[in-house]
Amino acid sequence: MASVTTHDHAHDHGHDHDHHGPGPWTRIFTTTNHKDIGSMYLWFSLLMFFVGGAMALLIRAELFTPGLQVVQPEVFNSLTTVHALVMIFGAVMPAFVGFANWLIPLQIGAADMAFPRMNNWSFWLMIPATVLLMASFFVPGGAAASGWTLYPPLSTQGGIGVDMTIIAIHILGASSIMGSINIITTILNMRAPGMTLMRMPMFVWTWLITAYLIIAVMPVLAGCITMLLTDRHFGTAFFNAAGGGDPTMFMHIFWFFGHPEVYILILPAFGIMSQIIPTFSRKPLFGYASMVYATASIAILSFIVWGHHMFTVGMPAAGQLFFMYATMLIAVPTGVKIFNWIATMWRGSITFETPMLFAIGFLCMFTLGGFSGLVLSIVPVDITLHNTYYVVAHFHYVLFPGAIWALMAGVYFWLPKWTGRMYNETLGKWHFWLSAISFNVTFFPQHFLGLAGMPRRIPDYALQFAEWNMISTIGAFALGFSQLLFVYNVFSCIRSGEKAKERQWDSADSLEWTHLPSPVPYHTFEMPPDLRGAKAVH
Amino acid sequence: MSVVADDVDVVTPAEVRENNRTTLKKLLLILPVMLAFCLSLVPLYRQICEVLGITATRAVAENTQVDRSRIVKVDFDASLHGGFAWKFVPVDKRVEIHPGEMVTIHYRVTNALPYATTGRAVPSFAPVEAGLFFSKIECFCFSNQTLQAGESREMPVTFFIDPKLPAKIGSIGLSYYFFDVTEEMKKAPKDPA
Repeated sequence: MASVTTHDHAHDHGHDHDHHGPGPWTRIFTTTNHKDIGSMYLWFSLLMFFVGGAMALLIRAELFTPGLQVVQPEVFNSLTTVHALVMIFGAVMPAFVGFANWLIPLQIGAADMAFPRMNNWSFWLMIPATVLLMASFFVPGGAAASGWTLYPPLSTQGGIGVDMTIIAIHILGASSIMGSINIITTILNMRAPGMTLMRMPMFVWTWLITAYLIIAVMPVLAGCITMLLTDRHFGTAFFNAAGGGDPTMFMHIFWFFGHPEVYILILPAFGIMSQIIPTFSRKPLFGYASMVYATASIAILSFIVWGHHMFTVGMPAAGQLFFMYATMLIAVPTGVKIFNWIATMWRGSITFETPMLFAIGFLCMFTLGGFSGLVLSIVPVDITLHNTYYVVAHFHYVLFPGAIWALMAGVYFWLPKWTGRMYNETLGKWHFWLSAISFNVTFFPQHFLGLAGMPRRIPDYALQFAEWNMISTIGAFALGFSQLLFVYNVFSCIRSGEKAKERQWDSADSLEWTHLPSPVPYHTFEMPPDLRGAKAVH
Repeated sequence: MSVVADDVDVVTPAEVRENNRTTLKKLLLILPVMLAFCLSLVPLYRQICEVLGITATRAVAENTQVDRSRIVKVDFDASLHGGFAWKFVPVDKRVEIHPGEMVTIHYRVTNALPYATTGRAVPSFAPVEAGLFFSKIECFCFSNQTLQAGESREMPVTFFIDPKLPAKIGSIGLSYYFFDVTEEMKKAPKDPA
């Protein structure tokens, strides 16, 4: 599939048409190449990771000691709100879409994504959305300060910043829906001959399921925040009790989107793990088919557990019990995955390169976050811990060492393939260990704070919480600044890393390692590889 | 890397494009379906709440016997939505009644503003399930209340408690929350509910 910009003068030229294509600045706007767009997604999400991280550090700086010193409470509330939105919609989701763009065509033997121009469009939509979101800090009334969940009545009361946030989420939602349509179509229709569904690498499988989740729940979010918008400006009263509406309904609709969203953020991470762990254990993935079914089960169950986010809302006991048991049920397929990874490592010839360190870190820390999630699924415990720092600790344990470490591991793992150069292994190990220690210093004490009753989203706190907050803030700054090592490592790898081998990791066996040189050429698999009769590649 | 020969399960680029278009159409269909699902949650939610008895008010009052063997305490509470400059207090703060017995209590509301304003009261019960057994015959919360500048008014609530009230509920808290709907009334003249 030739890129659009060079269509007219490159009919049959094969590989040479990118050399007399547009200049670099035109190219970033007009490119339809999945590798370009994948890289753009990844750079964008790296930038947003640091924007969101800077907000997190402002929050932690404010919480360093009791009392108000760094920011005003209104700004603090905006910071917690926008930090979450930026990290979810600006950093983690686009980063996984970046991986999908880079890897899915390579791993299934396709020349490009199914709809290359839509691919370009879905990337560029994110820019105005992010500008809107960030600009909302500078309008009268400030950015949305209701928490990322945008619960009314707080979100119906805010200023124009809330409207900007709503529009930004609309645009980001449209972008991720387009990305998902592209991914599903590519996977379903463009696999190389012989690449049956049950032979696809796990990363492709997890993204296929994730993309369906996105298409199913993003319209629900769009409808939900549209109702919020009409409540704010057009006199409706969907969520306004005074007009016969019900703010609790917002919570139900929001979390019907919100819980599957949680798995949208973690399933592709599971996919990356399932590529990395077998490679460095030098064994095939244990229980491939059960991995596929477990992923699908998690996705299906995610639609019936939303109530556990709102146990304290005044739900009937039967509802609480249903959501509690359904939530606990998710531990079963998740456990299947964890045990499969452990079984993959069992008696493997394990080596501890940076991607594997992050993968093992992921296994330990994500499991810990999963356990605190199980604790929170118990209704009476949740009623006590609801809206405390225990919840903050829980979801950071699943999101930072879960989603973010999987992304970091993935970048280290595929950098040699993408750039043709190796990153600095020593620096990578430093990055891992500094992150691992400082992450735990930051977030482990937050379990204690939550158990002791410290509420979240409040800029001040009682004196008895002072010590652990101070430790947590110190950890947060160490964690934030250790991530600069990652940026340095990526840049120095691209500029001056050692030349990487075609199969840098000797037992990596998906198509990009077995069929393509490092760095991968600009155009790949213009003729699909014939995989019929070849041995399975997962 | 072997190049694919013509074979049954190999598709041409034109066929791939055609397949992609078909898949795109199917996937696009999911979007309006899910959006419709989202919007249908609004009436569905109301229905489910009614069926489960989570809605605070109960429309139908049944003729019942007075159960003199039990006494239920009912506490009345009043509050105003942030910044709404009315005064709103229960005249009767607490009653002790038998289930099935008809009672009328009063709230006093004063418009402290120099112009007419409209408020709407929204009730809530503690415990929530008590709302299922709380039958109101008359209530100022049934309609919007417009008060002229400086006007003060006593407003009644006539109710009885269904004798089927579970034995574990010995006292009920009824709280009214007044919202300022003056602006909403101007914007949307028809009742949005």
